[in-house]
Amino acid sequence: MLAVLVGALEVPGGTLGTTVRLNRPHDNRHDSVRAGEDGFMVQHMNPTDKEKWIAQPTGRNLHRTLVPIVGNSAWSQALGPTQLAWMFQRDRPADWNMPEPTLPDVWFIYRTNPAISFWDTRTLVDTIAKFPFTVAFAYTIDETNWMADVLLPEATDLESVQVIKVGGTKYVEQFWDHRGVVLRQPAVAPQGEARDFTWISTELAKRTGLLKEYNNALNRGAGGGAPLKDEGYDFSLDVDTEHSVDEIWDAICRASTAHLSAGQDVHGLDWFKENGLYTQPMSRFEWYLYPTMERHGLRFELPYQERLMRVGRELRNRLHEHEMSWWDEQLSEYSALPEWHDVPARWEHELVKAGAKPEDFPLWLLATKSMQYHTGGNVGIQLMREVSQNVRGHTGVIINASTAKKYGLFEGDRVEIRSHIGVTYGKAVLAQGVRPDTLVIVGQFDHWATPYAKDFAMPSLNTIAPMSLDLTDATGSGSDIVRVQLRKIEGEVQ
Amino acid sequence: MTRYAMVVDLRRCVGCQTCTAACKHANATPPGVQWRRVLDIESGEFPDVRRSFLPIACMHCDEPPCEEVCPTTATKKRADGLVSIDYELCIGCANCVMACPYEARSIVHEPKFAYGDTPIPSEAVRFDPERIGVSTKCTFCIDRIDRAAQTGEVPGVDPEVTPACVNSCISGALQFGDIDDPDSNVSRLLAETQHFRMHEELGTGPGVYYIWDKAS
Repeated sequence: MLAVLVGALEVPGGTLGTTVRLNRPHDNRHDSVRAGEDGFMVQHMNPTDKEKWIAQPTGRNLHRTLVPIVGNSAWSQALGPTQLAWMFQRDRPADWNMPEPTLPDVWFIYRTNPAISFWDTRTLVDTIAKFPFTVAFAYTIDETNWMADVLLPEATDLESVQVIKVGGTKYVEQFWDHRGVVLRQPAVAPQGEARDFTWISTELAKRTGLLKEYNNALNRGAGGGAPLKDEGYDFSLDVDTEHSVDEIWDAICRASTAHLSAGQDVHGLDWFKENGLYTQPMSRFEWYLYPTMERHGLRFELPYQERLMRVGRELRNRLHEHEMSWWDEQLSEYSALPEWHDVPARWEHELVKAGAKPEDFPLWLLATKSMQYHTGGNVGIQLMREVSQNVRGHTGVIINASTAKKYGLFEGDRVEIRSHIGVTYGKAVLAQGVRPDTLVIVGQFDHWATPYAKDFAMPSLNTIAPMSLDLTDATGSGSDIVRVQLRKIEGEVQ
Repeated sequence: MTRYAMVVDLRRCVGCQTCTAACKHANATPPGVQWRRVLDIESGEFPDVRRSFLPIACMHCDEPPCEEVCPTTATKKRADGLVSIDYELCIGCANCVMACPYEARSIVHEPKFAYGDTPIPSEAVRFDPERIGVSTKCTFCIDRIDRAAQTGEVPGVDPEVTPACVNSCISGALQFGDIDDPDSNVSRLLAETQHFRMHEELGTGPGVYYIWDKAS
């Protein structure tokens, strides 16, 4: 909406229309532009009409039932209601008229560490511990795979092979002058028992009797880059044969280059090992959806999003027909134009509901991402730890300098940050560029198993932030925010 | 003549520390030793606050205070502007560490590794005992600069002979080249902009220029 107001819908970073994650075909957002019945660009929302609404959830996070806007692609679950699956394992609303969620028979973990990166981590860990069988891809021990039944020792990115699409993908890379594929190849041999992810995947497929389905998925393009068979080329893999890592990526290299060049160039894995990447020029007309929308004669949906309002009302009707009103507050977000909500009051109500007094928790604690640690996978790398210390906030919790003075705090003092569900400890980092009523923690920490990171003694919002339906938005997600109290403590941070 | 210099466009630096990491990687500096880093500076009071990022390293001065105090002539000013250290001559007296107004130098007295006493394989391969007990600092990636004389490539233009930090900069804030060449990238950039050198009042003649605005 802000982009509309300032006339900046289609500028670098603008997100008019579709992203490749949610739409098909996933390799070109322009090809996903279609006219819908109403003259707007078609959006593949999860159905909310009476005939097609999916009343019986198909997954624990309810995304097809509760969150129309995330659609139903491989990314949909990640983009929306990730916390519902965790929350409803523990508690469910009184008028929950759907099947009770079960524990997963087998839980796979791939490059994620929810035991420290979600809210209310103590409860989450208890839930994970109850899972009957957990399989974790792992290149080091961490807090989540600590509880795994099977560890699959995956090689790191510097030890393994992958072909990755570059340019024209989404957001920033959407505004490149070239698009193509780049090879990530081993800089060193895998250490210890580690194996390439592709090797592990193939082995799993073979041992579980899914080799044919696995190869079919690769042929459809599951490895990224391009389908292995398309108009003008065919590098598809024999579906009944177990293929080596290099055979699989060689086929993907050939298909990707043929696809990108319309059959003019075909380069295999050996060529990529020498040359690294293959790109084709990308027209700047492809940066923006507008020319394609104009060609299709599509109407602009923003700023009045009647369709959003309609699906919200339909969804409300469906839920009420099933005598469920526990999602009503979230449904209020489905409006054609933005409406004012007293968002801070939600946290005060949460405190009162939990039997606490809002005035006892006068400060807001926020968490923010760290450019140095990105999503956290490199938290155990000493070099990243060292350079991150140069950036304000990476040594503790950021506190407004005037606020710190009121609390008698100086730079580096140890502090206790307590919410109504828990406590975390860290060092004070004084700053002017933060609101006096707000504390900020950079990144996600509180590791207790990950080597090296477990000795950081960094505070963690996740440890003390609740996970509750009242703090859940219409996408099924929430915010890294919690009301806290602050005090100086003596002694070492543990 | 050639005078290599670095130009830092403060308008472009986002403080990501990629140059810091690239330097550590390229030069295999031990934990805690950063030949370059980016300062994260706050100015003003809430709510009128500004945040600035300032990359710093050895300034490769025209009149290096470190050279003047070196008792063994280990520290030398080269004709091309680079300030070098001969580790064979350095006795680790730390006079230069004290003399440098830019806090650019480090001395490590015993081996340090990322994860305790035992080096990981990459550290074992790259560990250089010559660097223990001597003064070290940013060299402008001197080996790369010297390679240019053999290959005919141009420092600041060709990545193979350009400092690693400059190559790594995600926003193009770091530039390198010969400021005695009026047509070089850095000369043109300085001609188009307003810039300063750090602690110019000390008369050291720093070889690092900081751009803060376009030419008035």
